[in-house]
Amino acid sequence: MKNLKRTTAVVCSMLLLVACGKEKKQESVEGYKPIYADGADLKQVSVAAEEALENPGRVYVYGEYLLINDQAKGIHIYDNTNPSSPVEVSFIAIPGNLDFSVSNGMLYADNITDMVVVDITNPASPDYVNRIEDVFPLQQFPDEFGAFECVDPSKGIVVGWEKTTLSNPECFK
Amino acid sequence: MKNLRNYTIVLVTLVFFASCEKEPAQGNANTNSMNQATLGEGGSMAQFTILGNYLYTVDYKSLKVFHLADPANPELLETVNLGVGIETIFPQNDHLFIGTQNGVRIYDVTNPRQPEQVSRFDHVTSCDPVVANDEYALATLRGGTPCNGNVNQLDLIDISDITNPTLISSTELLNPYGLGLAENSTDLVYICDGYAGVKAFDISNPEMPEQVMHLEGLDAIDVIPDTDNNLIVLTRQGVYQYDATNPLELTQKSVISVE
Repeated sequence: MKNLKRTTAVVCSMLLLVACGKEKKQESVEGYKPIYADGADLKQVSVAAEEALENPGRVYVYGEYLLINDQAKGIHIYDNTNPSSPVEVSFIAIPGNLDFSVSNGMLYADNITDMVVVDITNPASPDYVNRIEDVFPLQQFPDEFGAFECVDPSKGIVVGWEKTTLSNPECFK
Repeated sequence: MKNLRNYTIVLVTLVFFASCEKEPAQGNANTNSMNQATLGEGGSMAQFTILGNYLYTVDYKSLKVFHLADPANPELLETVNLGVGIETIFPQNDHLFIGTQNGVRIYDVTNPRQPEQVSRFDHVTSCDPVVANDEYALATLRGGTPCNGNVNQLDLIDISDITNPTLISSTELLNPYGLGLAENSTDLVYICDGYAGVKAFDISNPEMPEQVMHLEGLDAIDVIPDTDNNLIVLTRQGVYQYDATNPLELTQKSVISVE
């Protein structure tokens, strides 16, 4: 009886290990997939009146304005005078953008490996000012640990990572 | 009379600039107390921050210093290699707190052009933003998948001796990301606990932080406790704003939803 119990325990542990090993290969897991820049002009900074918020990455308060980075897309500017009803006044499209900071009306933001400077003295009408080239490195893996979709260089430059469900992931961090 | 007014404007402007030059490290980007109109405030997950005339950025492997003396032409002055796993940057007085995947590093920027490491606080491998006030640094540790070992907690670190950061307590969390110290209280910290939502902890007893608020139903990533008791929370569903006059009971003011 004792032996039976032990055998059962051993079999159960083996099953558990097998299941765990298989999980990585066959089941869907939470992980990250690359956001590729789509081959368009990656240095093109442009301004729109508004844009749908897709994948918010950073928030930033500047006076009465609320700025939100949309991962790898750019920066939304909202008039937040009344926090009960923020109103988008402009969207600055910056390919690959993930972060930024503002001082004295100037916005400094990453544009893949470059830094761009945009004058937002008038937040409703941002003005592209300058570009400092090749100051940031490219990161070819996600910040998070766990599974991720392997980078396929033929799809372009990786400009960010988004959470997703992966089936049969082959890359892990 | 018109001339007099012009002179006054010029004079005031000059004085303003002069005072700026004198205190390059005073414009703390993460306090609301001054320069509200000229300098912004980011969240704890930020990788860019401005102190006075200098922009500091971290990428996954380095800290960079840009001089903003000519605002339209930032000049890269310095690249400090930090290894890998660098994540966030938070300014506090003359120090930069850098969150990395194996700990917190503290840099002195008394000389803003040349950050100097004064100390580090090591912990297990995890993702970790950090914020600080004069007494404490607070870092969240977020483990990966259960297979990689799973530490998810808030570390409260005594930095009264900045050269020797000391762990006071670790509080268990589920999936922590960004955090922010309350604007109206030194004893309150808001924590974005990922899929578990937003939590507030009373840290008046730093050895045993006590959870006093829990807002569920959000995939919360970062938070800015703004002025006027306005709490801004970035989530995967959108950006929410709350009235935090009573931090124990947040009242939603608005949401900018993800589409």
